[in-house]
Amino acid sequence: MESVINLQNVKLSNYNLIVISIILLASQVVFAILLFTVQPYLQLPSGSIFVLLLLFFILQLVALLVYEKINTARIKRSFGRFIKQIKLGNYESEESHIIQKYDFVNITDIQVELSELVGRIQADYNEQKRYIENVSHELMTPIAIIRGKLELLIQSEKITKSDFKLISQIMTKLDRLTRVNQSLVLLSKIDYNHYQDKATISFNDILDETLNLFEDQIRIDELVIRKDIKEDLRFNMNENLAYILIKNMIKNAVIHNIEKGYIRIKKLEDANGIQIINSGVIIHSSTDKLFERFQVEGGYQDSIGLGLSIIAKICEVSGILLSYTHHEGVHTVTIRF
Amino acid sequence: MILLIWRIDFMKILIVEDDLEILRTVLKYFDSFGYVLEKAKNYQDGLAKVNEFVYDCVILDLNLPDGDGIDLLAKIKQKNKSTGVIILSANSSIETKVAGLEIGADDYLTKPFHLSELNARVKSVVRRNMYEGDNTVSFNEIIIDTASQEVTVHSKKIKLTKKEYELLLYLVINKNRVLTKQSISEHIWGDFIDRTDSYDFIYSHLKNLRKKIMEKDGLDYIQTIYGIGYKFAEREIE
Repeated sequence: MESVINLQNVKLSNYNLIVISIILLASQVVFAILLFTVQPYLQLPSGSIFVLLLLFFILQLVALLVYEKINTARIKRSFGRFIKQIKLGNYESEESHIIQKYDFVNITDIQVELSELVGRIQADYNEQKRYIENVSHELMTPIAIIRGKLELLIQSEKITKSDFKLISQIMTKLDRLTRVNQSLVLLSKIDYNHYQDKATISFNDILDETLNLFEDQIRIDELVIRKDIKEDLRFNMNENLAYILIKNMIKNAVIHNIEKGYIRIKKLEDANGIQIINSGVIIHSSTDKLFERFQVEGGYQDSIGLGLSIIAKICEVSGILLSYTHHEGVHTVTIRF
Repeated sequence: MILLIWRIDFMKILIVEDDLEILRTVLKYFDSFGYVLEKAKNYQDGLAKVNEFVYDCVILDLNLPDGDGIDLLAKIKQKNKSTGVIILSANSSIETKVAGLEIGADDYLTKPFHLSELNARVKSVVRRNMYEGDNTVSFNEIIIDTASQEVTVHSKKIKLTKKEYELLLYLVINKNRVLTKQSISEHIWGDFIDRTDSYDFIYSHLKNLRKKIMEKDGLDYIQTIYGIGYKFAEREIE
């Protein structure tokens, strides 16, 4: 898209140059004719006509340059707004004219071109939104039926041990299918700004609730939990996303931990934010890669590899700064509001 | 008392669901519990049934082909406030859940659901909405009081943790049924804990539960079904 704009810009300046030259030439000729007409009445010295013509020409040039400067600045501002609108485009709106009319001089071509492009993006967006809405219904219903039938099947008296094993394997995979589907639908929903309502969230409440959820895991792995949060930490974001974010962060710290390990949750001193530090296995892949979808590290088979993607996506849409480092088995996740 | 027992054992349940396979599956699972079951395949059907009879519980799919499920829910509640309504929906978005509960649904279950979970929800909703308030669930010598959350074995109180209590109630409500580990895990921890390790937790909680019941001379009704899960039932003499 950038190259298209540049190309149009080159065309634009060539075109303008010709127009400007013609106007300059024409006005010079008009001024000359005028001077020659008034000459007999004013009785000017013969050389002064040319001086006047030259002065007029210089004046014109200066005026033109000043005008050009002002105009360019205006177009630049206008264009900046235009680009910003494309970037932050509210493509979910039903309105057909996302791009407002801008006062570009002679670049209506770009406007038309980009308006069409944006229109297509908008159509794609709406299509995707409908698709996501349909997917959750169309996939969840058959999964519900399969799950129900399996539940009926296992009630039968005639099933042998080896059959139970087969059914159990089917059920495990079916569960995985459900989870992958739910997580992908969630990621897409976050993507298209489904969760927009914001409220003041108390971090401590969600944290306690989450730790409670993982108490069995924490007890069995003999993890030591240390909370360094004195006052209540509050921040403004979508409540559902806050829950999902914190649960995923704690979950990662718990399941990727080691026996008799630790989890330390502390409030940042210099900023409004939290740091979760936990012991874990030493991993070798790069940090960036872990945030990609379906990346599973540390041989943890049950993970569907979407947890970190979800964390990253929520931080992205909520304006939270996320950083993650690992060093010699110490994993640190920091979020700053 | 006799009347109360009659009500529990012959609960009248209406299932409004346009997907025939789901309808059949739910009916088949519920059939052997001795409930009186009615079915409706669409909004009109459902409305006619609701106007004609009084139900203890209505299981309602919100996505009906010929009408709005939320509208039907309002009509059910208008007619009889104590009819429990459980919404069944393929839409897992929390907003819909809130909307459903705000307009008076008693519970909300998202597809895909476990049949045993649906059964537990139905029982719980009916228990809550009953005026007479018989809050006990029992299995031979084991009596669970759901109001005070107390459990007695041979009239002797046993002290259970919150999870052990929830486990026992879930098992007893779905007595004589094989319960999958997945369904138990989801019932106790929600769908957020999604690792097979939670199956180990189930095992350890059940071990404690079994011990506590047997200490008070209760029989061991918790049976392990290889690879699949557990069943709460009388043991057959082998």
